[in-house]
Amino acid sequence: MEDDATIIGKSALEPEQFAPIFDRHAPHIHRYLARRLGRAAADDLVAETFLTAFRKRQQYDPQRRDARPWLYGIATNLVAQHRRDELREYRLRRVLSVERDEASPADQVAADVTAQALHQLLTEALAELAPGDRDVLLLIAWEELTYEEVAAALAIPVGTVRSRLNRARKKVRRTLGETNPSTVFEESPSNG
Amino acid sequence: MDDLQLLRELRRDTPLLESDELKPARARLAAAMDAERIDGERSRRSVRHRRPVRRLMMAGWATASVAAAIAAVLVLAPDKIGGQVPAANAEAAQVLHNAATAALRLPDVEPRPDQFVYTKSRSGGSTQETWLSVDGTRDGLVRQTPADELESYPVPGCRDGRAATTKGGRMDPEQTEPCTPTPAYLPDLPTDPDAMLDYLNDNHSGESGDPNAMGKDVYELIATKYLRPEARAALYQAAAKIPGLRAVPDVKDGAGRPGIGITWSSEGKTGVLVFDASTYAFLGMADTSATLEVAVVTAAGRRP
Repeated sequence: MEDDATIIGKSALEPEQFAPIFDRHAPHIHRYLARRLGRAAADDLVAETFLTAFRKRQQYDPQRRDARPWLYGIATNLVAQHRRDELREYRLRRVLSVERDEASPADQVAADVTAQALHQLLTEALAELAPGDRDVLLLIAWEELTYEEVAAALAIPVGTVRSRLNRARKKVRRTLGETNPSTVFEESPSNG
Repeated sequence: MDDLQLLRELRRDTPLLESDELKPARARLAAAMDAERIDGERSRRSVRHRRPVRRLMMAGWATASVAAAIAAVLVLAPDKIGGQVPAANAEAAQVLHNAATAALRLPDVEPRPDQFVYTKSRSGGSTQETWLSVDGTRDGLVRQTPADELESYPVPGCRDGRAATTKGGRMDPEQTEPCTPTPAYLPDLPTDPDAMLDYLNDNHSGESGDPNAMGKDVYELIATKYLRPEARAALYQAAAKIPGLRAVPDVKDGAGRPGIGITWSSEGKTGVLVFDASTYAFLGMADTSATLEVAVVTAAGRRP
């Protein structure tokens, strides 16, 4: 299978060659946008992401065989333009509480309540992060990009990725710890 | 479980879409690819018929042929995109002119800085009521009614560059963050169509000159700000001048109310603004949202 860089190169003169880039990556880019902005905005912005990519394809660095970081970067820029929608989405998620089944066993209810409380806390913590820190954290936690891929996506040095991630995680852990001091968090090994 | 693991759990349920669910998005890309291919072929065939190019940026374009470069630039001016029916454009402009005339007949209320703009809207099966501070410094409120369950959350006002943070649906005035006020009413909006067009060009989101993004900016102003009749009329007149405009017949807003659609999107029924076919009042965004009521009130939480 041809790599992304080859396909994008061919599409410079033959625009229709760009289609496989969409077919390969659109589901994941859509899911990323849906996680951050909700389904309706994602449906629109996934198209915007690929239209922008298509328009900018001649600036693509052919050294990068995999187009994912580039596409995530474009999508993240679009998220930045919809910051208000993103905060609205977090608030909405906070409002739409986890549904509880009254008939389920007591310990299951307790587990659900705990999970729900935790989700609310996390959602709040996310809403309160600086935008740049949130971008890094979510690209790593949700999209499982490596540090290098995040650096390429956001056009920042790898060192900045690390420091933003540390700051974001510290803040998230503080929010979680504040309310539930018994929660113990071990350091996870870096994935980068 | 560590914090990254917990975060992953948070959105575990977000599905990866099947390809047919992504068809509308793919169609928009396909339309852009087609437009380039056709324009590229045309300009290769006849150099003399090459169209004037608005913004040709050669810098940074590695190995592009002149044909491809021109084709790419033409994408930025979708009034040239294939399949554009002149009648649809004329009809869309007429809808906006009629909407402007209708807007001038609306009662003119000048909001005071200490008041709130009340908006009731409907989207995706839930009703939302918002009270947003006219000058952006007072604490506003959002009430969401999903499935008979009433929930609300505050929108902290921005005073002296600081806004309270929110936690669990409550404001925490002890914890503040930097902010700039977001007024629900912009007193200095132009009331002249040309000045309004300049304003849109100066305050655009997305790429400069991208009509699709400008269409969204127009929608943002209509749907999220309080517009006095003259500014509203100027906005509709200015919108009629944005290239790529076309009418979409038989659309429904997010509450199912039928109307005439106008859009700058080159494909499908996304980003379509819906107007009432007889009163030319703005109804909402096709299949997505409906603006049910807009009013100026004296306190957050108070209905008109």
